[in-house]
Amino acid sequence: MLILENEIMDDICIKFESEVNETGTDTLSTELMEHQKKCSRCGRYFETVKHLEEAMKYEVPLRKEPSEVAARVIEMMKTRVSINWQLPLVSFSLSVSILMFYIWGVFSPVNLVTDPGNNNNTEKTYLTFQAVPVSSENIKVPGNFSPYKSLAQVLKKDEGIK
Amino acid sequence: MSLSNSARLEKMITEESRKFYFVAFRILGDQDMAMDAFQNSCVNALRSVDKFRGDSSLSTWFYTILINSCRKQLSVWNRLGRIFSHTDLEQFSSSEEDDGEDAEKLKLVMDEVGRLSSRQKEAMILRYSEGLSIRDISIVMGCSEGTVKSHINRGVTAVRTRLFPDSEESVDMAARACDAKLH
Repeated sequence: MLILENEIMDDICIKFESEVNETGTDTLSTELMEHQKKCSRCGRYFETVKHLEEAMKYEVPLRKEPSEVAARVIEMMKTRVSINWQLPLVSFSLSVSILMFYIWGVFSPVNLVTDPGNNNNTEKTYLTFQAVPVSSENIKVPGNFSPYKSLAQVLKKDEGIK
Repeated sequence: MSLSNSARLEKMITEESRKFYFVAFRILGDQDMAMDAFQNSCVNALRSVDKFRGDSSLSTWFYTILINSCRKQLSVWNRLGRIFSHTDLEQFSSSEEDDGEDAEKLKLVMDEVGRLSSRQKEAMILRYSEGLSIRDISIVMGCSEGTVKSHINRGVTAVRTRLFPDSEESVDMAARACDAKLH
């Protein structure tokens, strides 16, 4: 008889512990509350959980307010998102700029042309006009015109080279 | 009009930041580490909010991220076994001078919780501090409900043994036999 009663008590104790673990100490049924008053094991379990619940509510004085940290993180993430949007735009603009610069370089009216000399020891570098400037359409350049000849004349004048 | 997940998350971590922070603090036992874990969780959650499918509540999903951050912090700093620093305990004890016996018991409880395994600690904090259901705790911890129940039961039993050193199983059995005779 005593063994049977012990088994029944064991079942109630297991049910009690399970119920306390799942719902806490505030919402226990009347039957289980009555049981914990009679059963020392469950009474101690109940008291332990009460102490745990109280201990878990304990808060230390904060050094830093978590809400400020959260707000800062949110702000930071928003900035990062806007940067993510801007990045493709910036890189596209850069690519277009480089392409435009290249096109301008290729089709620009003035080019520097390097021409190896007759005996490969000298190089001539001179300007070529790929397009005739609008304002100089009526000017005729002599066939034997050389900028070097003009330069030599100027140098002769200035430095007195004979 | 319902808010987007991102807006809901922002609102939640701003309004309930204290609650989340204290979960991290109770697990890690250090204010700076707890703040780092909380901050990392906010960043990770905001970054991956698009992946939230709504299988659980948003707060449960955030707890999962927070617990993972705490685990990472613990593995980095290898400070298992600390739940409250002694300074914090002294502060608490001095603020509870009116009821010295209760403060002493709470100190014992905190000390014992600090000695539990990290999984037991997590389960007990989520259950008794946050009031999460066993199912939600199992989602947060990534284990079965039975394992969660076992963690909690072992944790409570360990604390009970510390609070009531004479409550050995044999003593309980004898007490129960007496109780049975009486009723």
